[in-house]
Amino acid sequence: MAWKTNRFMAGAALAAALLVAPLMAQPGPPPASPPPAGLKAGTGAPFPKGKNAQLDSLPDWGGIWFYAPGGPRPAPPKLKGAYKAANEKWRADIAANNGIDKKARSNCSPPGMPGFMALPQYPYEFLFTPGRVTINQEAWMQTRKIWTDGRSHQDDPDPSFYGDSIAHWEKDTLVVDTIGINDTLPLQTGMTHSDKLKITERIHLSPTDSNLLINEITLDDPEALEEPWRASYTYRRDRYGVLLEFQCSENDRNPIDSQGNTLFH
Amino acid sequence: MRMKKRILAAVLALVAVPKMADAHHSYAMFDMTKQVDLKGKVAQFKWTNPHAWLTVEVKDATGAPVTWNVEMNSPNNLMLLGWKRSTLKPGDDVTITVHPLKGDKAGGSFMSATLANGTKING
Repeated sequence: MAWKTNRFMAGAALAAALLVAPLMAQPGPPPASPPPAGLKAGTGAPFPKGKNAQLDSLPDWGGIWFYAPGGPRPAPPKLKGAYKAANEKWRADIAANNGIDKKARSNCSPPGMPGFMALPQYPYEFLFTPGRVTINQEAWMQTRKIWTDGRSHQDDPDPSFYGDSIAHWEKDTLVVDTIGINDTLPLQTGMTHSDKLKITERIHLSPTDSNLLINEITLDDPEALEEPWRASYTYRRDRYGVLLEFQCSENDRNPIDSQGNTLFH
Repeated sequence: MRMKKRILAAVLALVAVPKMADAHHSYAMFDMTKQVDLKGKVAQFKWTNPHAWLTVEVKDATGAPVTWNVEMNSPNNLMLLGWKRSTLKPGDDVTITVHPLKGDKAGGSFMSATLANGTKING
């Protein structure tokens, strides 16, 4: 019986190998995603050749940048409806819990947008390639892909941490439009938003100090906000700094317990 | 006096809000109004994100050893203040100042260190 089973298994393994071998030898047609909305086949960021010299006309955002909160803090966003009530409950819960915020997500989970653009301690870098600006953020090793190749927004983007970002240059200002942000992520600490959140950013060097980068950011959410919220974020340059690795699991000293408390060990 | 207390509470509330906007987690677990000086030996110095981490063996008032866990800034910020991954090594004598955890657990948020050679370095 055992011998029979073994012989059957050996036969099955041989048949599987014969089936797989031709597949490995001939991988079939290459993957072929269609061009995104607004781009003709053969154009856009996936075709960088011959366009690299054009990058030289873009402003100098070299080095890394640290978010530098300063100046007067803007008034908080004016929430409405269920979003306002949820924020009031969050405040009451914190007051009842000795000032401590109970968390629903791991501290190893990144904030996504728009919190991504206002992270203290951990620096940013801005990379220009033809048709695209990439923003890397050291914390959680987050990446934003911002398309400058003329594509339009996706018709129905999957909700995501960084959303669907398209942009264009107005002289030396990068104007970014972002939609499709996952509505389980915070708008700001203790605030949520709807899936209609739209973020507009105008990012440029300071006219008086080329080592300051300014992001005039507008959060617009007709379901969660009474009116668009505007702020000006500032980042300071460190020319030779580099982003370090950030593997949260490597030093996860602040896990969340089943009650939502941040632990410390 | 009562008014003063109210103003103080309002000021503390304002101060507390930006702290909760910290990148990786809230600082509400620490008592940022208190400072504790600790003299001991380095057990571990971990040079990794999200925060560098220092473990120090300290003797308490009765002479019993207590292990203090101390959370530091991010390595990138510490580098700008002059730190390296080799600034502290296990066995080094060190005196540090921390904002202690609320409650009685031996832990805190790092403020500064005085190394065995007398150098003071902030975090």
